[in-house]
Amino acid sequence: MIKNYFKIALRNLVKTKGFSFINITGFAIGLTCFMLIAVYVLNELSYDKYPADAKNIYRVNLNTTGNGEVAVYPNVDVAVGEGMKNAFPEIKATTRLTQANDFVKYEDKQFKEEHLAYVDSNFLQMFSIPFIEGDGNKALAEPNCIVISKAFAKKYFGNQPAIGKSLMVGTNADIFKVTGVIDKVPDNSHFHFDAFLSLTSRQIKRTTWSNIGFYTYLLLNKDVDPKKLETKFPQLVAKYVVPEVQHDMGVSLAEAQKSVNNFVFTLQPLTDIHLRGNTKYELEPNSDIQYIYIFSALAIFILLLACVNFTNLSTARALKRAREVGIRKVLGSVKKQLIFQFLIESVLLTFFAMLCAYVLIYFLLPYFNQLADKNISFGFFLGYQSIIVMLLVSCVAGILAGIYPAFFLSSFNTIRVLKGSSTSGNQKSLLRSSLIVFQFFVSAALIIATIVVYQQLSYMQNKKLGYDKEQVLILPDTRLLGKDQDAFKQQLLQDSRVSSASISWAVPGGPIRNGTEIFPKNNNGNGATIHAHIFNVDYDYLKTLGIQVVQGRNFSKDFPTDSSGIVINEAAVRELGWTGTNPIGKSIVRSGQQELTVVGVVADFNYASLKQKIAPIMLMLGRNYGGMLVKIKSDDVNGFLNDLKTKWSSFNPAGPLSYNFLDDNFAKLYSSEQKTQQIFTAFAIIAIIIASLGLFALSAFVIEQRSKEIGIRKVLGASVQNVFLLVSKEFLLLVAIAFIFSVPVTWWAMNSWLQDFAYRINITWWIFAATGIITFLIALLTISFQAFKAALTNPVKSLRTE
Amino acid sequence: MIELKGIYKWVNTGNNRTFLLKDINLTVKQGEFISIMGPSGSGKSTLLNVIGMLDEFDEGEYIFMNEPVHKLKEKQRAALYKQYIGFVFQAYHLIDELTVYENIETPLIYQDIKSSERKAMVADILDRFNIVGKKDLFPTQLSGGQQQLVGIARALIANPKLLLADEPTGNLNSKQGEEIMNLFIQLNKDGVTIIQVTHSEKNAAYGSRIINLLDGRIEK
Repeated sequence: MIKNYFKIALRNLVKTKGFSFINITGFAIGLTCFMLIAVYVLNELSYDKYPADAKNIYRVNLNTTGNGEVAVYPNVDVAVGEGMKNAFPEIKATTRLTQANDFVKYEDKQFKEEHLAYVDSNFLQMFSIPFIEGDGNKALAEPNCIVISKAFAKKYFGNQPAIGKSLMVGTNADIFKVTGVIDKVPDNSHFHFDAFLSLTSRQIKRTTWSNIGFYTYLLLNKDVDPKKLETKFPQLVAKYVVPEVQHDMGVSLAEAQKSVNNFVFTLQPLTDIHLRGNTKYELEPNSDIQYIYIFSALAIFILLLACVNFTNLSTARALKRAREVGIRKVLGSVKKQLIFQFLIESVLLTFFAMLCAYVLIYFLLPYFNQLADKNISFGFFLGYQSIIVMLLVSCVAGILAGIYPAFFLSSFNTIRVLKGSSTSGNQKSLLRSSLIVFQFFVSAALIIATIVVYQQLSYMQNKKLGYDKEQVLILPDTRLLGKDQDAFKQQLLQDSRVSSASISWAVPGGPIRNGTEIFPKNNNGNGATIHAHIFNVDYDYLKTLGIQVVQGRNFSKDFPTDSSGIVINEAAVRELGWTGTNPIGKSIVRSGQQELTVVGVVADFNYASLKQKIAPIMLMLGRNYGGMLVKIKSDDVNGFLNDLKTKWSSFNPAGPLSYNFLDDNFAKLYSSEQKTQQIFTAFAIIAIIIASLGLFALSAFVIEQRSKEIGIRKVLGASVQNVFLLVSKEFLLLVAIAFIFSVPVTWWAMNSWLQDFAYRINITWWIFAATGIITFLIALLTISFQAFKAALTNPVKSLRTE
Repeated sequence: MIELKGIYKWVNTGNNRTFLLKDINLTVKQGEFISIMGPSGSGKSTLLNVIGMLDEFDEGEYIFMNEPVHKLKEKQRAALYKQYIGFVFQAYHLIDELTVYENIETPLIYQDIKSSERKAMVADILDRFNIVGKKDLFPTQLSGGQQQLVGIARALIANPKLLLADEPTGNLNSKQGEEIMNLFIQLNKDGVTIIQVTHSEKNAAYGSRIINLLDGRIEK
């Protein structure tokens, strides 16, 4: 019996090739998307679960309140971890990390290493990172020890054993001894360092609590409630932070005690960091739980779309097989057997689709990995878990999609069917109609989302930033020149292709490296203490970046007092409460009781991503950590770079020249949005393909169903246009309804997405209009193929069959 | 009214050419009532379809109301057809989804006749055919004779000069068939030219002229 069913099912698949093809393709695409996204989501959710005690590890975050705004820092001061551990027995262990980049040298090999970390000796153990060589317990116990990854070892030592070798780190060429080799930090970790250096090498003497800079993790004892522990932290703030504030800011004890409320330590579970850690100073750009929700929803939507197609087409096609059902019933088939037969058919179809999905996954995986920035291998999909999921999804989808047509088909009235009276599809068309509406609703929504993301992205890339990012070359490592930095700059300025150069490490779009609390002296203005970013610059900074001075003047060598002068931006003027007054000549006090006088005000410029509002900054002359910005005015960039390298070498620097362009740097700021856009585009295309496939097959079916009517109408004088309109009208109406539904939903959703951006576009009516037109045209195109065929068919043919 | 000169129609099957119509020469004057007879497969329906411009022919000339049909473009042919020709089928071919009233109205919609005018015309013909009481019923709720009545009413709604009927009584019992034939006589008297295809000698006798077809040829 079952064999018979399979045979019939297979023959039916082959007989209706077009239908089977559309159904299998649609379903395979849906399944592929679903699997890829499911794996992506699982991967994202697996972050930082690899340490044995992952559940009990927490990171200490710092929330500070200033000007009514809360700033969250993922790192705290040097003494916080140890201090907490000593105060509270709930804490089993604590460890710290501070990141660095530096030049590393072994014999004649020298590279700039961007991913170095100074860590406490117990760091690697707390994170359960296994050693390939060396003793994990002792590797970092001594100063000047380094634990490196396998790839790192290979880079410097080739195939020689790494243990015991000495590496020179930094411009001072400090010697570090390799005491351990690890495979690598797991992919699903919120940090990826190539080498870990013992923190004790830094010889930090201070034991302060009120600064930041050390990523501090606590291992709590089992069953400790982190919320309860957090409530005890203010005791420590009162004990350690308040005196420091009082001393540094030169304020009264009463004033300083306010910081108990403004200075809050919190605990963030380790496993939450990747998806919920979104502070400015994360070790790596993290993902966002929002995207996980969006992706999961999309995956399920796409799978639903595919199922919808399947159901839709099967019910539609059911009418064609009415006669078969009738005959089977006359021959003695019971309803149950019929249902079983049709279910087998639909499950067989989904299984075919599953095989196709595997092929698709195989070919799409590299692109997907690139898009999602992952490293998932095809082998993963061949694991028994994946196969079980695939089988299960296929089975469930097959049954879900098959069950309605199965019951529908088997409930036909035998006599009516055999008499050939039409089993009009009309009463069932409500279901089909709503399914079409659903498909095009998803498609339209995705198109709108794609356009909005695209617009926001191009808005951010084209917005006037308040500085000129074109043709600015960044040399981040000019400190390698030591005292020759100025001489190098002078030589560059003599080149006719250079219009300006400035020694500064403060790069717009780059990391913000320095900041402080400031307040107006003598309580003029509103007297509030505000946080200001510090840009250490030289005299040519504003000129090189084309930043406009709106009041006062730039720093000048004619004023020796400028060493204690500052240039602030308009945001600082506003927040200090100086709006409407002339800020020039006013003084502020910064933490550490240094007094500074305002000499100029610059127009606000977007030194960070447009996601963030422009915050107060102050520009100061002086220590600038050795980077350089060079503005060039030549098309011959390559020629200039070649000369630059020659010039660089002539100074005998301590390391190689590295450079990048400001506008490239800037573009990288929005890589996550770019990714979002690509993903939306991909999904929109997939959704449209699936929806169109469905519409195509369904219109073919409906037109076939109505071929007699169309024939009659043509005999009665209907023109091609008349017939075309007749058959497309209904479908287009459904598409229009779907579109109307999608408008408010996406308007709301995209507006809430845009809330993430301090500077954003308005969603305009034409986005919806354009989407409406696009969706409509796609639907029309899909239907028109069939509709034209119907309209052009000679009615003699369709009527003769009677 | 109709002049067919040397009409050929064929289909190619592999290397063989099968003729559906062979050298048809036929003149039909206004007001005639012609019956086309012949065995199955002799080309009766094909000839009717060619006359009704539903089907094309491969060779020959066809002049309808002084217009050379074989030279006309699709659009002009459709206009000619809409204006002058009505069609009645053996299987009635009513649209199941439309009521009697709407079925009859449909040709008028395709001729861009105003709604008020349509109402008047449909009411008129419903009255003439005595089916006012059935106007809101669907085809499946009618007997075969009644369905054919509706089919004829629909064919006549636009006042055609020529009525083409393909076995109009084929699905009806003899009493219903007789009624339809009497209706045809009446229409013919009112000036409508009629060409019908039929198997029945009895029905053919209603016509003023009988044409016998055999293997696509008119038998002399």
